[in-house]
Amino acid sequence: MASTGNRNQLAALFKKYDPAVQRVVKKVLVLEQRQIDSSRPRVKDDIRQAIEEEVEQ
Amino acid sequence: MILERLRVKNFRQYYGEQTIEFASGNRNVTVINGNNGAGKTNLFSAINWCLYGTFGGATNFGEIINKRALLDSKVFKPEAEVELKFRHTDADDESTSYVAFRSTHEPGELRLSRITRKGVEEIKNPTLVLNTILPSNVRTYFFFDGEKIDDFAKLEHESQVKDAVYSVLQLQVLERGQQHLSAIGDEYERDLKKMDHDEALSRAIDLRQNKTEEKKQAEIEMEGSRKELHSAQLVIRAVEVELLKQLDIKTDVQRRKECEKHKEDIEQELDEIAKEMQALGTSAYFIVGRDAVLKAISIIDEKRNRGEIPSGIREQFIRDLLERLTCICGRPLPSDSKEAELLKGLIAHSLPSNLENRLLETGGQLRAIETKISSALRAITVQKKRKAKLDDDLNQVIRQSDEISQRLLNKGIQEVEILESKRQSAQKKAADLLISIGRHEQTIKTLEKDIRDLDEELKKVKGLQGQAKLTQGKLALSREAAQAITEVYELFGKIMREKIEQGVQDIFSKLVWKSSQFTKVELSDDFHLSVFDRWGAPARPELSAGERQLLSLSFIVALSRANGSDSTAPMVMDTPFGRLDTIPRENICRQLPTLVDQFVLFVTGEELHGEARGILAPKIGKEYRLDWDKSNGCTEIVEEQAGRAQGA
Repeated sequence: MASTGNRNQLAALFKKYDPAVQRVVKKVLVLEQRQIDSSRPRVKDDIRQAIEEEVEQ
Repeated sequence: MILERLRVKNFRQYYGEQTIEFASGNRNVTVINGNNGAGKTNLFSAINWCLYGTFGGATNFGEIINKRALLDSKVFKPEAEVELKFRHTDADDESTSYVAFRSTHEPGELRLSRITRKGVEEIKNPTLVLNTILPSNVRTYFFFDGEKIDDFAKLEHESQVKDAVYSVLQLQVLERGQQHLSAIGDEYERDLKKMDHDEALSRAIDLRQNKTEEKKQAEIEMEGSRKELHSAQLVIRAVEVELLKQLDIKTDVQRRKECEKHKEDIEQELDEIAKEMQALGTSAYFIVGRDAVLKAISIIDEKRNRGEIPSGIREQFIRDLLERLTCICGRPLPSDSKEAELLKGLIAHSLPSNLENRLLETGGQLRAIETKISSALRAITVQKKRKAKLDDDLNQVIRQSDEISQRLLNKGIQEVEILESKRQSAQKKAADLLISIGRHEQTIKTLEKDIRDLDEELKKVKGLQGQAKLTQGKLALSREAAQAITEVYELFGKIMREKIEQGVQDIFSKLVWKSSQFTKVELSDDFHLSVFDRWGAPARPELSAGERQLLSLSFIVALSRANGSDSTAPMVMDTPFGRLDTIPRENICRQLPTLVDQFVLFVTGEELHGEARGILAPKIGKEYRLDWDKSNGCTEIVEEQAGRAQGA
């Protein structure tokens, strides 16, 4: 539930990394946030897919 | 998230359909007045039930459907419903209105709809969306029972502070992301090893796995040491509280507290000096070349004195004078004159023009370096003097503290001697543990560097083909993303910790009436919340129930504000003032509406009256009264003129 201010600050800290890394991290954080209430989140397949898409590009 | 409207139907004692509109904007306070048993907590629980299907901690909630409605209904069983309308600004800064709905017909199912220009659109995975707005584990920090929030300030509930920071500030999301990326990286690594049997690749993978294991082990051991250190510190604090109760030695114990505080301050200053000296040493590396610089300057000066290097006068300038046969002062300069001969001599000894230029520039640069060296040496001397003075002070403070300890150990009062001896052994243990933690930190740092180097090595292994090459790319990307999150996590955690610490300090000093007594609030690196008194001694064990409530409230507000200046979480408090005296009650009414975006209070008439109500009145945008009807046991929500309710 990060607010806009918090989100912007976090995004700014990732700016120095490679754009591909930034894109993967952004996707991973969205996936994790969506399942944050789950003790066993099912996110690995989606993370793998995000990495694979990026590498194949 | 900004609450807009709550609609309840046949929910608990609320018969039929009833609505509350929430205030926001400049007058952002909503007050819901009700006597004990009128239904404040049920209305508060309605918000929790609607969004999360639970009653915010209460396990045995009883019948949800209104009993009168049940009796009224002859044919069909009536249902209880709760609908909550709210606004939320999403990741792209777009504000959207949502309607959440839950009924006893399908109590396990949250229905969440988004209101768009085209109409109402039902969301297929409501929990996933709600997790991005206000996840269940976070809501307790925004919707809470005012009388129970002192949990944060209790010593035995320290882990809750950490959990709150982790949950609210996305640290948990970052942590999970990092863990999953690392696990996926490990899978790619194993796949790669199976695909290609290159010796260098296998060696790097094996080595990385070993280093990772070693790091995990070191982290476990360090965590153990940290926990033990924390326990030892708790023992020291508890013993000190006990010692303070002994009147015969109170002055000594108080004095030692001051010594300990002074010692900490000196140590902190010494750390800063060490850092400054290190910075000077790194940036002023040229100090080591001082002799060479001075020698070079003297050679250049000597040459200039001998006329081999003109003092800033270029060769071309002299040639021009000889050609024009006129001096710059206007006097004639015949070619056979003594002056012209001198100038010709200078040209004969001069160097090629580019070398001459270089020498002139070098001379200037060397002088600048010498100035820099002198100033760095002066700064080092100043720091050395400061350090020597602080070392003396530190020794003196330690001596004084030891003398007090000795006096207490030989006081002749058995209880004091036992306590002091307990304190000494806990302190020794804490000192040993600090050393052990430092050693582990160093080991982990070294291992992390080794692992990063091995990742680079794996990324650069050449000659991989097809699938193996693709896996190598995936492995590198997963490792880089995990590393990026680790680095950002540390930095972000540090920024947020400092922000919250400052926030708690500011807010607590505004709310508590003994602000001169509690002078400092600290949130440690591992998120332990401490309050120090005017003598610099830990004061959390001594806080009253009301003060603990204020500390918890300060922490929650600071947390919400650290979440961003544009934070959009409402603060909904049930019975917020029950245990508070007049001054803190008034302070809350004065401060909180300006510190949070939306403030919803469920209060009894006795909780909010007199001066406190007067202070809050200009900020109240909506106000309701809960009228419990003794003839039917139901409650009616009655809207009142905002800020003008009974007792205003």
